[in-house]
Amino acid sequence: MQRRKFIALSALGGAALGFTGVNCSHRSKAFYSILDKPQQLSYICDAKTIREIGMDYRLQTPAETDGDKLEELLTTDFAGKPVSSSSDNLYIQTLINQKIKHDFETGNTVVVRGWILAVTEARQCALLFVNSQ
Amino acid sequence: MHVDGRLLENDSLIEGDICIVGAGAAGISMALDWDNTPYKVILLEGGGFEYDPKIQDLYAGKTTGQPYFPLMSSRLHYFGGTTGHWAGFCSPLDPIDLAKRNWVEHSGWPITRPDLDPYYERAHKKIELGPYDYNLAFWQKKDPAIKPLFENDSIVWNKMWQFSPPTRFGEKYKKDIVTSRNIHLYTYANVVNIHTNEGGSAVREVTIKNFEGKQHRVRAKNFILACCSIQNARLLLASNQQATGGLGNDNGLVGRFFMEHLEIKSAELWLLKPDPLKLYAFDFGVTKARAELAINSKKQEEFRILNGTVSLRPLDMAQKIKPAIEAWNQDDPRKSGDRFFGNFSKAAKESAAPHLARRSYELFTRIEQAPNPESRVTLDTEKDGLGVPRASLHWELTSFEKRSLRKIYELLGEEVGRAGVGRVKLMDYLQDKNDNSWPSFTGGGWHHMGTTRMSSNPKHGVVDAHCKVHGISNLFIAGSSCFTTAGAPNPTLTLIALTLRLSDHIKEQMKN
Repeated sequence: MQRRKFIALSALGGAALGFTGVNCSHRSKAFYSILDKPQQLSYICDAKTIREIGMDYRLQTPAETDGDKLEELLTTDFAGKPVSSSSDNLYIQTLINQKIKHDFETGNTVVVRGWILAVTEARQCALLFVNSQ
Repeated sequence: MHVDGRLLENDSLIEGDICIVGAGAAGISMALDWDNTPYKVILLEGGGFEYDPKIQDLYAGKTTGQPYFPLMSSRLHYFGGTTGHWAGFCSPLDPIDLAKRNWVEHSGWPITRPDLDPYYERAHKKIELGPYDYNLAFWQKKDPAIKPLFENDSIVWNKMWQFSPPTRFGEKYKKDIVTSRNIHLYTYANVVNIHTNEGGSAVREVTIKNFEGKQHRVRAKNFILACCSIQNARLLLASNQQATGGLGNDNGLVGRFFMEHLEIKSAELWLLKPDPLKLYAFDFGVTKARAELAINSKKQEEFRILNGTVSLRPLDMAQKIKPAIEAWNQDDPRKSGDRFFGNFSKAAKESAAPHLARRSYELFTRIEQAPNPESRVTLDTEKDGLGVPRASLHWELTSFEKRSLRKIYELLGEEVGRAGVGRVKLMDYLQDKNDNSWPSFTGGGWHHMGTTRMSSNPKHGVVDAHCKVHGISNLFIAGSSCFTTAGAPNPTLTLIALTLRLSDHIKEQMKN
């Protein structure tokens, strides 16, 4: 089952059971497309390359192979707190962009397939890979 | 005036005030600096005014270690020397290049950048460069269209370069030299031995030979070796009749610390939006100045790395260019030159115009080699046609260069990402931090340096701060063999500046 479909079904299931997940329930498809779409990198690399980068990042970083873990890392703000479930897409896109810039500024980078990437965008690539399985 | 050494009566004695050995960039610059003075200047050139295969063969030699260009074609052996095929790239050393860096063993010149500045300015005139101004702002005033890749220069800065036409010394200065009243140029005058007085404290005369079987002697008050790094060392080592290890070699340093610039493609720059990056573009014969990317000296210190610069070439063109080490593989410098420059012209013709906006560029590095005593020139057992042992070069790199190269690109990659202009992709050989090997396309810049390095301490250098050989009162060295460290820029501008400084010093000394 594709991970995106699984998330949607899980959210539906959660709703049916009468609870709302902190990270998933109110989030739209667009929200997830922000998480697994490294915006700047997508100007340079095609989707296949981005998936391959994601695949290799997961191999290089065994602690970050799981989709939920990647989502959690991507949706954590600078204070280390999870992004509010009511946050809009613009907010999450801005946060991701800021995290990428911060990664470059602080040397929180990783070399994957030769690309010098912010860890945040490498996680986005990894999430895309996971979601495409 | 000009005298053909082949036409002199055998065993002639030539006498003058100063004797300059070698008529390349250094030798001619120095000789011209003495034009119209009351001093008689003897300028000795091993070859003639044109290429001669038999003379060029005197530069042949073996190489070991890191694969290198054939020695025979690495230098030109006729009037004008290697300026006969240089590309004209010029930029001064950075202040950090001359400083003692505690993370670079054997670094630290006994002079500073301000000591060289007035001579850089004079050297500019010799090689027909623009004003001695390497500030980006100065060039931006001339052309507002040149814009840096990123404004913040606290990590990566824009090191400006200027381009000589390039000045071919043989053509440009032949008339000035041969019509000079006090400069006496002798062609076909190969120095094969340097003789000192009994105590070895001063040079008495040099022996010159040619293929016509003639041998002459030259006497002068001061002697200046200006034959390039490999030949300067070779001549000192081969002049071993009075000092077993060769002249100026009491501490075994002559020929050691041979340095080159590693010149190697290293990464790709991919931009989010197409940009011609005019500030970094180069069009041979057209571009007067451009920038290369370099790491700020504070960051070099923080990360304990060597200095290097990164030039940008359109990727579509760069991918068509054969590595220099592959193209420049013939003993005959004319053939190697044709292959090398032809390769560039062909790639340029087959690619889009250099000024067009592109999204991808090759990042090409020129990085200093760390001073390494095991990287050295020695004498071979084989002798050349005039009976002088041939040079043998062992070019040796270390993991320091590789680590520095990788770090330069990590910092550059982070800066490109931070600025949001694109991303950098490393070549395969830089991706594994534990891999210290070099790929087959690793090359040099034909920049030979360091074999008679400068230090105030005779235990650490062959020449002192005035380029005088330690322990020999009237023997001086002109050229990049005196460089203590290599810096990132091509050496011609600096070696001419250093030569003009030496010239002033000898003039001052002779006045007294």
